[in-house]
Amino acid sequence: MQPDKVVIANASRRLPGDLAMWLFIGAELTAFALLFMVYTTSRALHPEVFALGQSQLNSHIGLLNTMALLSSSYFVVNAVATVKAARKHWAVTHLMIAMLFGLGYVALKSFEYYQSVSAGYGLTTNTFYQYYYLLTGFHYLHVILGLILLLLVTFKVAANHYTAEHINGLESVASYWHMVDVLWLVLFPLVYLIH
Amino acid sequence: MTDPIETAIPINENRRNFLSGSVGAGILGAIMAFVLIKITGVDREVIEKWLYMIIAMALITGILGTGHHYFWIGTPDYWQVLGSIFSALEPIPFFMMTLFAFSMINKRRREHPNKVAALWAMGTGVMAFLGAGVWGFMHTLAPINYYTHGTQITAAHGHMAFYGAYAMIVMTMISYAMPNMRGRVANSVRAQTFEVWGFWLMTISMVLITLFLTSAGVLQVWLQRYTDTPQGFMVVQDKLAIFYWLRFAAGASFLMGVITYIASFFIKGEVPSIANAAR
Repeated sequence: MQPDKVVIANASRRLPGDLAMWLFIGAELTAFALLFMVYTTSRALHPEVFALGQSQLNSHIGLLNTMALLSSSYFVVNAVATVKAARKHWAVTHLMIAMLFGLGYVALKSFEYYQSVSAGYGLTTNTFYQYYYLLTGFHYLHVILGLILLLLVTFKVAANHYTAEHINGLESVASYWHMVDVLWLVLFPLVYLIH
Repeated sequence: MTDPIETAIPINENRRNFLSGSVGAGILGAIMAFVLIKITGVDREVIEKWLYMIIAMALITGILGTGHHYFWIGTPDYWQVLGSIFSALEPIPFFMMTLFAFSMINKRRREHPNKVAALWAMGTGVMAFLGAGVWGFMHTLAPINYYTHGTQITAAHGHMAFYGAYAMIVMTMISYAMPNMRGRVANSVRAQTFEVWGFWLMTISMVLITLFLTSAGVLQVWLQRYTDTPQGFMVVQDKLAIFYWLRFAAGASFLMGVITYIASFFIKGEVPSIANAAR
């Protein structure tokens, strides 16, 4: 018998975060997968409308937003690791930096919406803008929900709520935040880059 | 002959179907959880965790899934996208409900003498999933609903969904609560046997009603909607007559089930106790 190996095998198979959160993530990913498929199909049906619409988007802002979300996720990973290493103070700092990057995303995306709306493009302008606002708008709402969740766990980390063994809540929120990140990594090339 | 009014898409389905799957799944889940706690003895924590996930899923899919009622009532196009996508996910909470009922009853920690209440609970899960989930999904996508809206397909879905998600959960509750209110833990074995007969007569009849109405609906869509030479509503109704007669026969057998079910309330016999009911 090799008891150490057994323990390690079990540890690696442990689900980070709550099962309910993973179920929720599964449902979210399914809904977004359907949205991406509908977007792709519609794009194949109306190539000119989509080509024109996509050329009006600002892919520089999109790139900045990608970097913001990736950096944010990096700091959330750090936060989980530092809580596991019992360095609470650093965890709070990491979470706050992660939220700043998240807020940066929200600010840039809001600016982009402001520009599009001022230029007269709305949800009912054409098929492209309908999907552009639906897809990015859903994602935007998910970022805001993620920020609220990050804020809640930051307070809990500050109040010593989590330890290396009891970290379920923090891991659930971290998993959700990474999902928001991954969705953007599909959404950004799909809507902004692929012409 | 084309009936110009009927070939336009009717707008009244929205008013009829105001109770969407999400509302159903939420209320259904809560009542089911109560009965399952009582008859299975499974930990309340386990039951609540399931309920929590089912209701979360019902909300995620249901709030925007309600958009399938906004397809053809003059609302902007994006409702067709939103309603299609989110209502296509609405079978998930119903499927979870079926798994919930079966797995809780498998994990039961007591042999409750009220066997028929457990049967109703499992039946509710299955029929709600089939009627609301499968038959709903069948015509919820906007490009399909464009042709099937307000036809007998809708009637088929409505019959099975309301029987599964509303009628059966009420009968589950009656089956559990009535013996309690009459001062006993469960009805006699003979009364329960009658009730089981009522269950199967009603449930099988409802499956038949649904299948006959679905057949009528497919033919109706084919003759009246999905064709280059659409026929008038009343002309098509005449051609569906055979299915309506079959549906009527199934309805009569459903009535026999209702009578058997009500008769079971009046059947006496030795009242089982927890002790002598244990296997």
